[in-house]
Order: sequence, then C-alpha cells, then structure tokens
Amino acid sequence: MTESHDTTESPSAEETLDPRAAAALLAETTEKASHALQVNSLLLSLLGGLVLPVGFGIIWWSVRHQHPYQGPTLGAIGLMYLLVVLVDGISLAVFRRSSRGVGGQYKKNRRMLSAVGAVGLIGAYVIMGALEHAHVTHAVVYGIYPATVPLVIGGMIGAVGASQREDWTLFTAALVISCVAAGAAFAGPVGAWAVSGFGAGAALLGSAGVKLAQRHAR
Amino acid sequence: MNEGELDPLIHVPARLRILATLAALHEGDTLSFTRLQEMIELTPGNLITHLRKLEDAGYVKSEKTGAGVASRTSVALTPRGRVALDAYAQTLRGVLDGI
Repeated sequence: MTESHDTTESPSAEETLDPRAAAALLAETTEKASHALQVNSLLLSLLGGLVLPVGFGIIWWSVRHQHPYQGPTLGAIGLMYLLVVLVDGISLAVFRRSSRGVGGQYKKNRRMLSAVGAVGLIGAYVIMGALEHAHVTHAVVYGIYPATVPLVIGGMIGAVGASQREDWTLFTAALVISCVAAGAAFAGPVGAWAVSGFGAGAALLGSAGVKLAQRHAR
Repeated sequence: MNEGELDPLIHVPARLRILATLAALHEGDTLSFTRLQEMIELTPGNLITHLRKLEDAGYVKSEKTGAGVASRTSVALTPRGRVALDAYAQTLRGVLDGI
C-alpha cells in the first residue's frame, strides 16, 4: 500500500461545535464506526443457522434407512461440501469487509485462532482416519464421529473467536453447539446427524434472534 | 457544567470523529491511515494535521512500518485518549442536561 499525503489543512479544520451538534456527531460517528468495524455476526448467525441444518439434514436423509449403517452417499457428501465452501466464502467476505485496515491485537488474535482452528479440525479428521485404520465400525467412523466431533471443535473455535470480539451472545451459542454435538453422540450414527445439525441451527438462530432483539431495543 | 469545560482539543468536528472512530476498535487494535481517512472523509493533509495534534496530547499513537512505496501507517487510540473521550462525552451530557 502506498501513502502519499497532501499536508495542506483546510480553513474550516478548527471549526468548533455547539454541544447539541457535538453530541449528535459523536453518536453518529460511533454508530457508523461500530457498524463498519465490527463483524456482522447477525448475518453469520443467520447463515449458519440456516445452512447447518440443511447440510446435516442432507446427510441424515441419505443414511436414514441404512441397516446396517454404511455412511453418507458421495452425492450427499458433495452437497455438504458445496455448502461448506459457500458459507466459508460468504464468511470470509464478511470478515474482510470489517477487518480491512485493522491491525495490532486483532491480527495476532486472528492468526492464533486460524492456527488453533486448523490444528483442531485437521486433527479431528486424522483421528477419523486412524479409527478407520483400526477397523472401527462404519457406524462410528462415518456416523457418530464425523457428525459430532468437528462440530464440538468448531463450536469451541467459534467461542474463542466470539470472546475475542466480546460477542457474548455468539460465544454462548458456540458453546451450546459444542454441548449439543457432544450429546448427539448418544443418538446413534443416523440420529447424530439430525441432532447435531438441527441443534446447531437452533443455537445459531437463537443467537440471531437475541441480536435482532438487542438491535430493536436500542 | 458549562461548554468551557469541554476538552478544546476534542471539541472540533474532525478530531471528535477521529477519536470516536478509533474508540470503536477493541483495545490493542490499530487502524490503517488509509481506512481511517476513508471513514472520516478528510483529505490526507487535514487528517495528518489533526492526528499530530492528538498525538502531541498523547490521545492517539501512530506507527509507520515499511519504507518507500510499501510504507504503511497505523493509528490507535491510547488509554489516555480513551479516558479523555469518555470524560468529554460525560461533560457533554452534563452540558446538555443544563441547557
């Protein structure tokens, strides 16, 4: 980035304010700056709240009549990954919009969270490979494990990210997602997809609802 | 409270907008000069002039990284600047209550 600066100052630069105008300017600038610099977590909550149940629902739909359990079909997995790519793309655009030009602690936090997230999620799938290698049943390797563990880890990563931005509504929703996903393991290989997906969706839509209510209350 | 108690350094539209914008960042975060300029809609010269005054008072700090065409300036509110803006807002409320 290049910066060449004209250092001339306009004559109106030292213009003062009457107190009412100052209060209005302060409120307006604070509102605008907060809107521009803060991540639109309402949009992200709504997006996740709608897409997670659909993605996990597609997988559940593909396995619901399997006896014995074999795992999701390739078509269902493909659709799920298509949704993941779509959501990642939109989320990235939302984060970039708000974080353009922001540095300092924010950048350090983002790098730390990216590293923790990458290790956590890659680690989860490495363990899945190890389970397959150890000839653990398909019900665990392609059912209970992938329907729950990535969401438990994802929820925890989301909670850390939300706490860094002091977004306590999203923090709570992210922890709820982890808890629901952990509990979903008891629903069996088929039920785990439904419980995880719909539980996570409900937590995120609840978070979006709280945020909307807070916005209206202001 | 009367209007005279308002911090004269902050009680100027451009500097009030600079401080209010930087206050929207979390503590420890910085904002690039370019993004700040876009948000405040001031000319680079005006922004530099106001930033210098705020920096002299210890309300903001700026840091330049890189050199030449790759140089990048980032700006942040200092703890002292945050306290001053809070005090300004409180005084302003007092003044408005008295009107």
